[in-house]
Amino acid sequence: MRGLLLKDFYIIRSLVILLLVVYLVIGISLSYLATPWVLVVLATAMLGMIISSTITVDKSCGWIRTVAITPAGRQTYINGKYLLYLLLSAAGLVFGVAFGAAATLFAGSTVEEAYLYLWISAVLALIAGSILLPCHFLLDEMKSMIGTIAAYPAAAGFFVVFVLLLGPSPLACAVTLILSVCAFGGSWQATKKILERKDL
Amino acid sequence: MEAMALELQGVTKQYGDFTLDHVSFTVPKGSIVGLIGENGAGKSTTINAVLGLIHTQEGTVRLLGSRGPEEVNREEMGVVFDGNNYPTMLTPRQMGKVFPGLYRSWDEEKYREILERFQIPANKKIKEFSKGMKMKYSIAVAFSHHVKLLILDEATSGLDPIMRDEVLDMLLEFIQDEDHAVLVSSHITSDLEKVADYIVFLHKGKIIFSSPKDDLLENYGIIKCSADQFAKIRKEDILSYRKLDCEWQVLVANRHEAKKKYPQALVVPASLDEIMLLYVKGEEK
Repeated sequence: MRGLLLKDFYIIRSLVILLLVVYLVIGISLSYLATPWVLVVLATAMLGMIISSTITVDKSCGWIRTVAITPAGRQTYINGKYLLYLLLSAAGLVFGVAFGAAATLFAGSTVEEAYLYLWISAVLALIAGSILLPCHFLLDEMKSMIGTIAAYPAAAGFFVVFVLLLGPSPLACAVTLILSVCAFGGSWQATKKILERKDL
Repeated sequence: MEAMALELQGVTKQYGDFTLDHVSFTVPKGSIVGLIGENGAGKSTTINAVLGLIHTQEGTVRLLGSRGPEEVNREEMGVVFDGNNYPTMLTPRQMGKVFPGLYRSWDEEKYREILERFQIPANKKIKEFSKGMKMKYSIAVAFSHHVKLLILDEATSGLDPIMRDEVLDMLLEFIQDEDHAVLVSSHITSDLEKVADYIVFLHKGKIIFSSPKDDLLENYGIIKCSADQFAKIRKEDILSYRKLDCEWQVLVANRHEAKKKYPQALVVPASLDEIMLLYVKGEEK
């Protein structure tokens, strides 16, 4: 897996600067329009979505076939992508918190808002990831783009439903986080099983 | 009995309009087996089945003593696909850092040595390589971990004659070790005539023959004759025939016997190309 992650790191490295610029432009605007803590959600989503680019690159050049015949195999390939998605989302979360905290010095905010947006980011990352990753692995380019576009609204919808049902409470936080982790884990296992049987 | 590096028994794969139909052949250790066939014959499908990249409806594949592609020790398998299968925005130097994480037996020194030998620039992105350079790079990777079975799918296409000769020399060097084996599919039958020990001919998803190369080249022949002479040739002697503008060409399995039986006709040796052509474009009597 080390080799697979290194390969993706090289690909991601070339995209990071562009992403940073986009993040700062959109993030600064949203910080003033909404709250600085929206930077957490934005960073988590933007970094998590990079995984789509790596899978698209792999599919277009046939890297998946190359990996499938190495000792790593298909399962390690899938594990690597899901793990990388978690790492990237976590990095986005940390990065977003740092930027958000810095932004609150100018825009002001509350600690409750910070926790709320952390909660939103975690749920969004896990639910969206459980949708966009299998879409990218198993569907063609057009359909996987549609999957990516649909993943975040679906994740937001999931969050809103539970908040409406249970209110913005610790119970809602716990339930949504547990369900998100289960969804992500289920997506991971299902993708492994399906890709194992798929002709490459 | 020869030890086998690769055994296919009754491998069958159905697609909508094509079927790989009960393909069986072996690749003995210490040998090079050439897989030939026209475009769409099923060569790549066969190789994909061997590698476990596609799932077959029937049949078994045994590699290096294992029970199938899922169980084989992949450290011992080197593969060169038709076309580039590496991320094009990376350089060979970067890929050289990726592969040790995929293969425990990765040989960094050998990798660098082959890159130099093939004159592949280590710091140039793969997307900037020509088709031939991409193929050379794939071959360099295949030889850079300690493999026992090499599988090459159209590996010499896109290479200039000098490079092709070098690659063929590397294959011959590779099988000096009796534990090693090579399966190579190619359209360039002259390459296989130089290096292959056995030839497997695939046509429309079926094995037409699987024979030692020397047997084919020493025994197969083409009778070139007139229409009258063709009419006298017995059906059981004809593998395939073609009517050309001014002559009939008949493929026979034993040209020495054919010379004795049909002394009036011209009987010439058949190259692998000609054998393939007559099977594909010819008719059976």
